[in-house]
Amino acid sequence: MSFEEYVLARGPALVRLARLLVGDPHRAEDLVQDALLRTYPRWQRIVRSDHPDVYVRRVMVNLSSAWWRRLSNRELPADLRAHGPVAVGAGPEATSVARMLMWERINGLPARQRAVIALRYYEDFDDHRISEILGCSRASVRTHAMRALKAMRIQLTADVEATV
Amino acid sequence: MNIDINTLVEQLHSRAEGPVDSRALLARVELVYRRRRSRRAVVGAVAAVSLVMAVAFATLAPHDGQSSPPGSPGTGGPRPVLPSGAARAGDVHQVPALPGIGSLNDASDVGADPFAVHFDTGRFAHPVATARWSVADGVEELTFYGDTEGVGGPKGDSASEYYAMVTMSTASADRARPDRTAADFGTPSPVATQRPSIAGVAAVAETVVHRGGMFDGQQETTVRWQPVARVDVVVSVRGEIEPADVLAFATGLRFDRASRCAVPLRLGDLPSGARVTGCAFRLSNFAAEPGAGRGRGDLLVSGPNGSTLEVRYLGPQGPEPSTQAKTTLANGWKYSVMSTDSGMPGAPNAVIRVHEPWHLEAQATGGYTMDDLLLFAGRFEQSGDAEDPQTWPGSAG
Repeated sequence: MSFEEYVLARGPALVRLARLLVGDPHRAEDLVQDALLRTYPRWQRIVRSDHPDVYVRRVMVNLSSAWWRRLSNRELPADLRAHGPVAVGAGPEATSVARMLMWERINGLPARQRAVIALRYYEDFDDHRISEILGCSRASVRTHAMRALKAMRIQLTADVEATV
Repeated sequence: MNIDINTLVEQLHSRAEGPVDSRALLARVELVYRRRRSRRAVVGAVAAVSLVMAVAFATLAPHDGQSSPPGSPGTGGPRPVLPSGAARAGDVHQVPALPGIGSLNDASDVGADPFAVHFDTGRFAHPVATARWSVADGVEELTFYGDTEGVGGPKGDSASEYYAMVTMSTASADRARPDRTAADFGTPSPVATQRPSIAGVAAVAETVVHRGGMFDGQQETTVRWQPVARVDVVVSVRGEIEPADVLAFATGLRFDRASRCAVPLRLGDLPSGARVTGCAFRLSNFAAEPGAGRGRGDLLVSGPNGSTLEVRYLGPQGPEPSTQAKTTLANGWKYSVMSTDSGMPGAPNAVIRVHEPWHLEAQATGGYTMDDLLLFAGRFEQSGDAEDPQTWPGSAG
């Protein structure tokens, strides 16, 4: 598979993941562009490894972490500070507010925790695949997931809890 | 009632989905790649020439004692008073810092006091966004980053961003190098190596271009020397910065005055056998940067058998605690438990977040438990004005 074929085929999926990693559609395209730029010169080597998806996603996660370190310095965004637990009231309006607050909480997560949430609950990857992408152990993946969910105060169902 | 996991999944899908023009994406990548490649070709050619010129300048130019090693002529005059952090913020080429006490006399000074970084800097050739001063594990370190085109957050084309690091240690030069073991950083391809003299001391200046890995195509210039016997100093700047600018910055380092690491806390009595072993302090020049005009800081306390207690000052205000989280420490500060012993390797045994009066996070590792952490945090006292790092103490006692 050539680099061009890969971008045409997988580019949309990468941008969708990037939207979750950086929380902004414009910056998401910048992130994917930057990741692909770093991948382009060594494409032949990457594609021979049969894991270009893992490699490109790893670059994206690392870049988003670097951005996050620069911008947030592990601080929560200001707009998150005003909110308590994510509460669901009755009716569509309350649900809409709760979803908005949840997105703010996702945005407030440290980059690697956020990456784990996106890879696990959006991409539906297992811990092994996520650990390959993040370049860490499966235990670390579980730790990131646990902390992220705790930070967002997600009430886990029994099934999900068992996987954590 | 809390939102369940299905809502999370639904929310992720709704935020991620949307049309993507992959042909436009490919076209942009190819365009930027061609542009960068042609620019690097020019930079590579210029780098070798400018490094030679910089070395000649550094060797021939008269020194005013600013970077003289201790004991050499020119260091005996009165120490200039550094302007405050707020005042320095007016000059975005200055590395933001707090003035410290003392100077580098010999190798035993390095890393001995977690609140003292035994050097200060001059101006950098490009705007400095945020600086982090730290002392840990016997290494004194300054890292800072910025953008040659000003500071406005990350851009897709990061060619104008730079990252700089100054490390001072008494171990081997390798130890003082940036830690690059955790990711794929490719292979550095040498562009130019010179042997300048910095204040009469032999140095090595090397410029490389990284091939492959995360920094593929990025240039890095590193200057190494020993301003004092057995003290290794390494200045390293990655980005499209002229080697001459890196060498000029290295030459402008001063070892006759120190910078301070500070946190607006007094820790009180520490657990038996424990002491403060690390400190990190951050300050920014730009309002758009985190911590602009205000500082952030971390303290590391080391106890027996590698156990640690760590506190991170995150600012004067934090998120409101949840209803269940208004628990009170012995000092009356409100906190919530973020994490208890997970039994997972590498994870802290306990993490708490203090909400009032200031925003802190504290964590325990090794043999320290949640009880130890609560006792530790319950002894904290405010010290200095949270909004003014100049008033923060240069010790934890």
